[in-house]
Amino acid sequence: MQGILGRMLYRAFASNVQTEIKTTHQPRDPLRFVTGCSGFSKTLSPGPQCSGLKKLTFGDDSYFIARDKTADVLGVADGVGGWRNYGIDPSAFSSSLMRVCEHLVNHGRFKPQSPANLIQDSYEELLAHKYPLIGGSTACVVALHKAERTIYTANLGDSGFMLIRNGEVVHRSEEQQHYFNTPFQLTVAPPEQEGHVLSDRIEQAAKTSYKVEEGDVLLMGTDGLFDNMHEDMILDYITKYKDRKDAAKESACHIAQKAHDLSLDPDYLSPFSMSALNFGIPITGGKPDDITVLVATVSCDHGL
Amino acid sequence: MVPKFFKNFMRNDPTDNSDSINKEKKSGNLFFNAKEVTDFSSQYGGEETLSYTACNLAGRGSVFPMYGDYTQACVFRTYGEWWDIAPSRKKPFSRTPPSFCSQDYIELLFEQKVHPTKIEIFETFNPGCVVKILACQTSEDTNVDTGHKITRWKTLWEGPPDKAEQRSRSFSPSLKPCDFPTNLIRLELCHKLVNYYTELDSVALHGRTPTEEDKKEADGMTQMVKQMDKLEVKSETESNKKKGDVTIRNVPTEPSDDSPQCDNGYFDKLPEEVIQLILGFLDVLSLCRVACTSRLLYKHSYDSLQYTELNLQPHWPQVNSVALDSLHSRSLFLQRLNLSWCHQNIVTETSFCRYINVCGKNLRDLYLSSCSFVTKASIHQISEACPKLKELDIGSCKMIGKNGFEDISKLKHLERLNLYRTDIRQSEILGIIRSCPNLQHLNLGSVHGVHNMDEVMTALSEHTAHLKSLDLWRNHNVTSAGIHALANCTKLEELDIGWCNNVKSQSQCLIAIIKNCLNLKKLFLTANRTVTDTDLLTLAEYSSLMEQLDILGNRLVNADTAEKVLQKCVNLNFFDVSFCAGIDNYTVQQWKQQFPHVAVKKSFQDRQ
Repeated sequence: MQGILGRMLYRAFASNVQTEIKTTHQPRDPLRFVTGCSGFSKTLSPGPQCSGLKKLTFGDDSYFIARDKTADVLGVADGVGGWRNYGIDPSAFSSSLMRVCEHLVNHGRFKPQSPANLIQDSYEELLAHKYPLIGGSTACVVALHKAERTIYTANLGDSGFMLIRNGEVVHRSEEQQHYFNTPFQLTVAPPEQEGHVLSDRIEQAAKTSYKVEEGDVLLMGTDGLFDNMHEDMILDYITKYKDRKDAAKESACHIAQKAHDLSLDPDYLSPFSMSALNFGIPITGGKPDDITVLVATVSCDHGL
Repeated sequence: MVPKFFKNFMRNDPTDNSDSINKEKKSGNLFFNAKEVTDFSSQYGGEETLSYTACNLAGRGSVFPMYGDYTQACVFRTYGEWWDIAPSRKKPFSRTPPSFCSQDYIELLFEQKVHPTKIEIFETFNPGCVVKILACQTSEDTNVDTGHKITRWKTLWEGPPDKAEQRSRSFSPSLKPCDFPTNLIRLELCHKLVNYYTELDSVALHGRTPTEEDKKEADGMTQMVKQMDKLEVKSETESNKKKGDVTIRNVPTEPSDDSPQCDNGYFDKLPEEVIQLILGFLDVLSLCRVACTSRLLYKHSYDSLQYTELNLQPHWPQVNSVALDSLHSRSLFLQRLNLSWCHQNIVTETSFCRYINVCGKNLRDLYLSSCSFVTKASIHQISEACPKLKELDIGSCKMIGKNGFEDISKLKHLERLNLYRTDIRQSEILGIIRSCPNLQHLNLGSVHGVHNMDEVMTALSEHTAHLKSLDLWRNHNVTSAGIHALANCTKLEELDIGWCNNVKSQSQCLIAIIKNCLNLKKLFLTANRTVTDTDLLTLAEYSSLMEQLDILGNRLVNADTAEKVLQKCVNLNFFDVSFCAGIDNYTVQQWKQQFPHVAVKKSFQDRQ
């Protein structure tokens, strides 16, 4: 008994020493994201809309990229299209949610360790708008804590992210659905509808954290991406453009383009149609939807 | 020229936020956005959220050059004349200098100290409200008596409010040269002329870094500041001194101690009452100055009867502990005192307590909003020394602390109590309500320490039969039950339940208020998304005296119902229907022609 305890103590001690040595021997530079973004709107699709656009929305999808002293934060949100039946523009909710997230990050009003709280605070800010905003949205936020070299994530609904290291997915989000094609969502309902519509609490969001290394690639997207592209296809693109100068931007553009093409292909066996078949719904082809793709490569932060 | 070490500092400092500091290479000057909002008098937004709060003025702007009503802007609590004609209005003070019109202030801290050369204020909605820009000089030395750092405020610019063109602008008036480096800037605003809330996006401070010569000068200045601290209210900024001199010379003969029987010109021939009457028109500073001119005028201007009303708010940068002490002998009949905005660094808790102890006996009104010297001890002193106190304003006083409010309940005659943005707790406010039956005006806006506001409402309905106005702005803890209880206060003339998210119209609580409180003149239902047509139709039927109505941010009310209100409430002069989905701009334009006596407000936002 004593022997086991002693061994455990020794192990604990030894592992402590080990990590200490590691930290002292390897100067751990803070990390940061180099981000590229692309996407397509379902309705208006004149061509790929690469990053740099001020509007930061693709159809009902919306995203933000924000930086703080301690963290880089990315987020995507997909407005729930069902609100269109009530005469409400679904993009208003998702884009407002993302804009407020961005504003909160810019003002340092968030903890990198709890992106779920960022979504929650942002949701509460929406209620503090003079404009009576109504609608619903999924939300996925990833914060890279620069000094801790760790990503902290929160995901509610069917948007998601994957972390790719050396051509393999090492960490990814799980989608949350009530039933087929009905993701978890944050909702502000009109007063007369309160209690009658789906509304999930941010506590239900999946929260994870994961240590990252230089050279890792983080990919975020809305369901328009993940419903149309299989994981290995995405990985191929990431590997293909890995060493380019604007790796993040280029791979984001190409992945979005491919997802868009596939979504309009009636014969393609998309992840969406496979999932539908599982639910006993016979659908084939891609799923025409708004597509948002964010690609962020993890690199050293040289105090830029 | 920027000294070399500064350049290095800027490049290497890792905590340095590169977004907020920029360099203009050509001139060698620096400019920053504000790092932090350190103090402000009021804000539209709530204490826990970021939308429409004063904090938004820090950092880079996010609205400019767009124009409109945006959440990311800094917004204050009031605008226009509406608050001055509401039932809760305060009596204005006599002796207020006509040039003083500031209603709100905000103080901004910047990354490093510079000699300000230019200040840019980005105004993104209803511009023209900034009336004064001040810079703060803090010296490293501390006051021997108080232990506080010695501070001095210098006015860099002042001007009248302006009803500027309705578009976003960058406002940068030419500043007076500033002989010290500063990192604390204060803006004062007057919203009297604007049509709707003014909104500010960001502030940029341009300046040059202090050189070695400046530093030597600064040491000299510190000495000066020390001396200034010893002077009385009389000491004023230099320009004002000159003005003062001119008026002084109008008195025919200079007084001199050598000839006590000196000629006072025509003043000797005037009856004393007339002299008193003439002096009654002077503001406080002039009254102090005129005392220097002759013995006769000294006698009259030091008469306690000249000091029944004392408004020191316009002179807050000059009101220090020494000045307050020097007023003791003159303030024996003091009835109304306004010390709002006086800083702790200048007026201390002990000197305030001393003053109140001597002069509080006849005091009726005491306004102390945004005063950092108001602490538990100050409140205790007020409750002991001011038995006749009827009005107490301690809005935005953040230093009172735990159990600090208890002693207010000793002020049995209290009629008005402003607790806006204070940390009062439930037991304290309940104690006050139970022991102050004469309470008429109560402001509980943005109060967060009270967890069961409904109990407070019940106490109000049981104990304060005369309640005229109640401000519950942004109180999340008041629910429909509380509003139901409040319906027993039938003398209610003004009720502000803007942004009280938990008041739901479905419970019929609004109808209960409207049917019971027939004297209602002002009703703010701002951002109450549950207000229905039925509520407004009841209002049109019962509230014939209604003057000001706000239903901002409502989806359910349609234009026909709102028009009924306009037709039936003939006294209505203010109607805010901003962001109401059912009322479009065209309808509002028609109303403006049809009901010209009503100011129909419809705010807007350019879609991003």
